[in-house]
Amino acid sequence: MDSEPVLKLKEVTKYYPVTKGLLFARTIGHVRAVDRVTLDLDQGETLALVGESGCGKTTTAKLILRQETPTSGKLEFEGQDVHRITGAALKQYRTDVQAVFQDPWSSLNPRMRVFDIVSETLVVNHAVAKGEVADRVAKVLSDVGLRTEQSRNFPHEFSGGQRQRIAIASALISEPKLLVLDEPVSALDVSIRSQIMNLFKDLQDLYRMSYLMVAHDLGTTRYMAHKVAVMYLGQLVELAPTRSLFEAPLHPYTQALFSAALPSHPDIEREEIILEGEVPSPIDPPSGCSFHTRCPLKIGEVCEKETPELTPRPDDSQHHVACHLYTREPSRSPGDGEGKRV
Amino acid sequence: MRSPSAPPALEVRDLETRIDTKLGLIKAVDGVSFSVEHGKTLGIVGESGSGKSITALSILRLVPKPAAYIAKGQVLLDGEDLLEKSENEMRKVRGKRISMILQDPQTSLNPVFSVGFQVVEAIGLHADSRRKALLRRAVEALRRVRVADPERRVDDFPHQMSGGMKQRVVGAIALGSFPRVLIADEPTTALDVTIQAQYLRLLKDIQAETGLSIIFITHDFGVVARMCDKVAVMYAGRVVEYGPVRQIFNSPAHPYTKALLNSVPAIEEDVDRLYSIKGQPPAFWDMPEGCRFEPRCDVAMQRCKTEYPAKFARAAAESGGHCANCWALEEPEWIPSRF
Repeated sequence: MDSEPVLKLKEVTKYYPVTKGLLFARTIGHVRAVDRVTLDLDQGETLALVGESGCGKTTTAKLILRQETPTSGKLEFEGQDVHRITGAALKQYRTDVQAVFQDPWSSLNPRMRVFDIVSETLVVNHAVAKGEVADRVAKVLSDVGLRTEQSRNFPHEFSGGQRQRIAIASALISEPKLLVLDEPVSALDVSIRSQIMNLFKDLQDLYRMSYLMVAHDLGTTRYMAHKVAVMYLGQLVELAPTRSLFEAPLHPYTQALFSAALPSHPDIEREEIILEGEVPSPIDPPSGCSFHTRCPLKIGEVCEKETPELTPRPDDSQHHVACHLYTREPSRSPGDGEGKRV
Repeated sequence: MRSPSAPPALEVRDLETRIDTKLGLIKAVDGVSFSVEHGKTLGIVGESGSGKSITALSILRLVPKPAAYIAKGQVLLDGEDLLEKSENEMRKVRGKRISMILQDPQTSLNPVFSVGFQVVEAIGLHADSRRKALLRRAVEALRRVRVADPERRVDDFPHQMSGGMKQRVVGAIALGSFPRVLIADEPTTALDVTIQAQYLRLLKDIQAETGLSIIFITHDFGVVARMCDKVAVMYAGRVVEYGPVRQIFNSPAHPYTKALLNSVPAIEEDVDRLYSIKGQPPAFWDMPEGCRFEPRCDVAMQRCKTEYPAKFARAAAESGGHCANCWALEEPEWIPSRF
């Protein structure tokens, strides 16, 4: 595996202005959709962004796909600044980075035949000679488990799982290095989901791609991802290899998220951490640690005043957490419950 | 616990609902039977198109007319057959004795009326008190579903509330007249995980307080594991397996149930490779003649192609009525069952 990460996010921030008035609109605030997110994605690796709706995971994916420009910070793909590249390098970026979206009913053009949908990237970017296109389409369709004859059909002739396969084929045809997956299986039926998840795993080995996956389902995340980044109100609160995150989640929000996840067997009893209230508005997020308003393990004033930084654990340099519990008194573990009362 | 001889809160027997479509008459619900005891929860699990929502609508006789109609069967609420009732009598059942919560709170509330008005409207149908008293009851109903500060929230409009809060209001409407049976059709699918956990806990608390019976329609085995006492697994319009929740999770009998349970990734453990069911569910207008799962089944036999499997019940006394429709169960541990 290459040591240099494929994709690097450095302090990436995206604010959306909130305006008032129609003609002389003035900005009255900002939605902090993504707030100083720093992370790396290695080659051949799957990184999952998890969190609840509105936490900024989809905006992060959009920033990578250049559908949004960051307010500040920098995204680097193979050493190049994603939002500065132009010309041939940009064309190359667009073939190297592809996406598969949640809903295969709306992501495929109903008036195009499968062949045209799948080959579009190649044709638009003049990536290969004309004669070669048909061969490439045939190969990629067989890789995703569709038959070559089916390339003459229209999307409506396929079921949900097959449509998602078409969407995957059209992303794969340019042999990308990075695939952005935005909730790739959550619109599919249970019996189809595992087919598609297994397909993604096989294709990752076959094409040696990296995946950046946006997900909210923790089971899917554990199965698919090598590394997980947990987001809350636009910020990364925890970043860790999948196994260490699932076996010992450290941030109180991650712990609450895991305790809220549904069990896979009726006999599994989880400690119930039911969070009070709902996610605060990202327009005016709480001061200090943005989770302090709902945190069951709040230490005290420090949580309200200082924003905790994402820091690696002393015992596991891969496991990063942004919480004062671990930086103030490194000896304490969250299970002690001492921090519960202020 | 009540004695086993007491009738269940709701019992569905051999229900068949047909829909007239361009592609022919289809049996969306085909001979479905199950029951829910007082204060218990039954889960109906299935994929989209398995007939679980039409089953729920058939219980309340709300199937879209005239295309869909209930062809046969019985729906017994405390022993009374709802299918025999007149439309007027049914109006007294809906909302008062059986209520329903739908998936998307965004579409089940009216955006131009305050939530208080909508709760009052629902309670008012079944009670003849004055408006002021009704408003008080609405506040009470909102308090019961743990809406914070209900006196103030009662004047809010749906758009002022978050998704979880709106679904609580829907709950307040459904539970406002103290029904005995609640049908919840994927009520948490549109909610975030932590909000889902709050909502499921709320339903459990209300059930413990009032002895409500719940029919939980879902595609998520996690919800079943957390909420249900009994499970009916539906596939292509039929119940293929039925039994107590632990039996279903510990020793599933039908190949479809087994496959489904094996294809869901767990958050508790690493799985190297998930099982995946080949193919896709059959279309209603192109149903296999025999077992409907046969084309996707790993253990299918010749007989499965031509004959729909009989129902077999587990012989062991402590199985709690665990049964499944599969020819592979023709063995001593299982005995043919008529119901």
